[in-house]
Amino acid sequence: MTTDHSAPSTDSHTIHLPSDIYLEILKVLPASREDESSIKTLVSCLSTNSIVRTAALSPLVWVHHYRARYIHSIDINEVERKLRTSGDWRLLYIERRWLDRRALLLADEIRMNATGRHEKAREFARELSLDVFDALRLESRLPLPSCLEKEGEDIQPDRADEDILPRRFWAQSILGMIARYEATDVWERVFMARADDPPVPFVEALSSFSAVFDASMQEVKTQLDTIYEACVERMKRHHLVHASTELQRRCITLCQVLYSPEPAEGFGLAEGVAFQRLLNQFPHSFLQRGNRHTIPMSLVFVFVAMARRMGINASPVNYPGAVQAHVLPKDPSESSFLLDVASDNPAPVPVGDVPSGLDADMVQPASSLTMLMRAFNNIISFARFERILGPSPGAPNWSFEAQDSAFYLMTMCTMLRSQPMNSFPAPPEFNPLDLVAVLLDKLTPKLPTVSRNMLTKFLNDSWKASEDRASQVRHRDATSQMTGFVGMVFEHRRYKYIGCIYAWDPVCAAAESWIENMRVNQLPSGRDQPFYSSFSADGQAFYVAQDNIVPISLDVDKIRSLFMARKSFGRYFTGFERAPNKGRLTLTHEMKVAYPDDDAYGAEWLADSSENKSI
Amino acid sequence: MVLLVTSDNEQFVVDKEVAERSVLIKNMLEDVGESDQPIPLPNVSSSVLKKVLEYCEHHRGEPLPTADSEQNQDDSRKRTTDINEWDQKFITVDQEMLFEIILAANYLDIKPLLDVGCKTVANMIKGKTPEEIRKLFNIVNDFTPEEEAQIKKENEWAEDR
Repeated sequence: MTTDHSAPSTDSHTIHLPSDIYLEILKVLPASREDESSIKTLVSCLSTNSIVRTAALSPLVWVHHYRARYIHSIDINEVERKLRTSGDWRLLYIERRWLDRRALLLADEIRMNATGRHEKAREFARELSLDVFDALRLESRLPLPSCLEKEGEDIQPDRADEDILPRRFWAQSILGMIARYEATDVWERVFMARADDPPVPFVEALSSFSAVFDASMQEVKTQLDTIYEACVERMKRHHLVHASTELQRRCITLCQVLYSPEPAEGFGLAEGVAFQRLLNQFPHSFLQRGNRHTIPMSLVFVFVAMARRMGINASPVNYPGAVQAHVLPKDPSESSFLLDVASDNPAPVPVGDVPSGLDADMVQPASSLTMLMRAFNNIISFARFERILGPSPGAPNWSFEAQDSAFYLMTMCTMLRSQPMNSFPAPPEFNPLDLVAVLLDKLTPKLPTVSRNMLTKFLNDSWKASEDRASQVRHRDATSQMTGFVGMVFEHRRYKYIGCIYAWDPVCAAAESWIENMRVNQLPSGRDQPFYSSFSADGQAFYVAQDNIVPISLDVDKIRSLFMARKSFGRYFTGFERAPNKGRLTLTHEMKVAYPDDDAYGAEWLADSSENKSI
Repeated sequence: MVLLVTSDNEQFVVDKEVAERSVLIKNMLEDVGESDQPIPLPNVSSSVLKKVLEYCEHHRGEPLPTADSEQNQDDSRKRTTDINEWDQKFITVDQEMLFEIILAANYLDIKPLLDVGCKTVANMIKGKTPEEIRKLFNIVNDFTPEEEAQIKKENEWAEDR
């Protein structure tokens, strides 16, 4: 370059920007939920010099970072915070970050100390709750250790990643507990509704189901908002009549926009075995890209949620066969109509024209109670199908774990309906914080006296038992014949499934009836042999006799499938360790405390080359 | 055609449509009406104006941002530091020129160009320490030690736990 402007190296220029330009620059720092670098930059700018600081103090540069990070809050607290910080988004952001820090410290305490967890869970449920949900969600999505993340590649585990899986697990256990604590109030309003209570809208009622999969109602609502934005965008792009006055036309347009476009984006009816999948009944799942081919009730859910955002009074109808949508025009002179939103070419049918012989309530908007009962029937039937069909080919991350969550949901709701109970609700082992905070504190007080007293006693006993277990330390007895250890991956001698051991008893500790049913005494070593708690690569929990444990070689795909199969993988294991032809899962702090000899035993087993040959 | 005169007294003859990408010039032209009077731009040098006109020429005919789209920009999800390919290439200049373009875009009121410039600087300071940012902006730390201590305390929330 030969001009006057040649060669000003980047640090020798003399131009000073005015403060309003600094403001413009800081305003376009991109907001992100996961990426902290914009926030770090703003913090740097606050201590750069007085001019840049003035720009960085402006609420205008903080507002979108706040909105990107925080979608949950306890309403009343948020109102107070906003009054206190009087519109200063930076101060509001800082207040929330301090709360987040408190939450993560408490989460660390829960993770590191097996005893006293339920009391800390109570603090989360009663005091922090939705105010810290977003921080926990971020923690639950910490980037995976690289050895688990990259498919097909065999990467040696990194020591620095040691805490990631347990941190993710406990954060998710806490936020899931908070989601269920909140959802219990919705279930009460649906299943224990008094005559003069305002009805619970269908979209809200079904959204609450996803709480057993750790998704909050707000998260489902955010998914719906995103889909709605895409719908509006698509209507604009194709010049479709968004605001047309003709109601039937608008409803059909909405269906077209929802169903037709790109395969991953668009909704549609699931076909073949993909229809009978349990997760088709749960909004957080069927709203996700790639899962949007689903059952009629879920399509009606999406239709109703979108229609209501457009100001259309739509509801589900408990129609025989497939659920339909009911649309009530604002103008009382127009007639309501039904819409089979699951059909390829939905055509409105005026309510007066539907085939005779149907009960009147089959063509009228159904109550949320009716729809949720129909959903329970679906769940039972889909679970049965999944038992028979096993993993469905279209769903690579399919796991039996979902059934445990769905049945947990049903036992809670059944309690609230005051139906005769065959069993008390018991949280699955991967929801370890629900026992007291959700069931004892939240669900039980809603029940009528008799069942309340019974459940209170049951839960208090369970609480005591769980604290006892938590303080137990299991040493290996040098004289015992025990060969399994926490972290061992095995194949079941008879049933051939692959599983991993996360706990053991020196002799069978199951109830007498179970021992009878399972014919434990007919095993070669009978009941007086070590028994192992384990879960399999398709997500089922088992209690296995040592006689049936066959150690197997461990490759990264097996580890990944175990990790995907069960949330609690991260509670017990930090990753893995491999020697040629074999490997073991490495233990979390909690497991090392509870089974103090197993880490060393496993490491020794791994190093022992004579064992190598036996595999 | 419009005649523009820069701070170093160079004259540029440009299409009205191109010149009117600048809201400042557009308003001036509306105020004076049809006239052959040159428009003085005492805050812009010829080398910078050349660059700015290159931008205006490329984007001629595109709809000007309205108050409505400005509002959209405040929508957090739409805020990104993404810059399209041509603009990216256009703005790849030395830092002095970059700052000159930003100042000119601000003065001439060309919002999309100001945005491109600011996004580029935002990308440059992302993840930087205060000292690195001072160097980049050619500014000095003017805080007293007491103020620094106060600021450090105020920023504790952002420290790693």
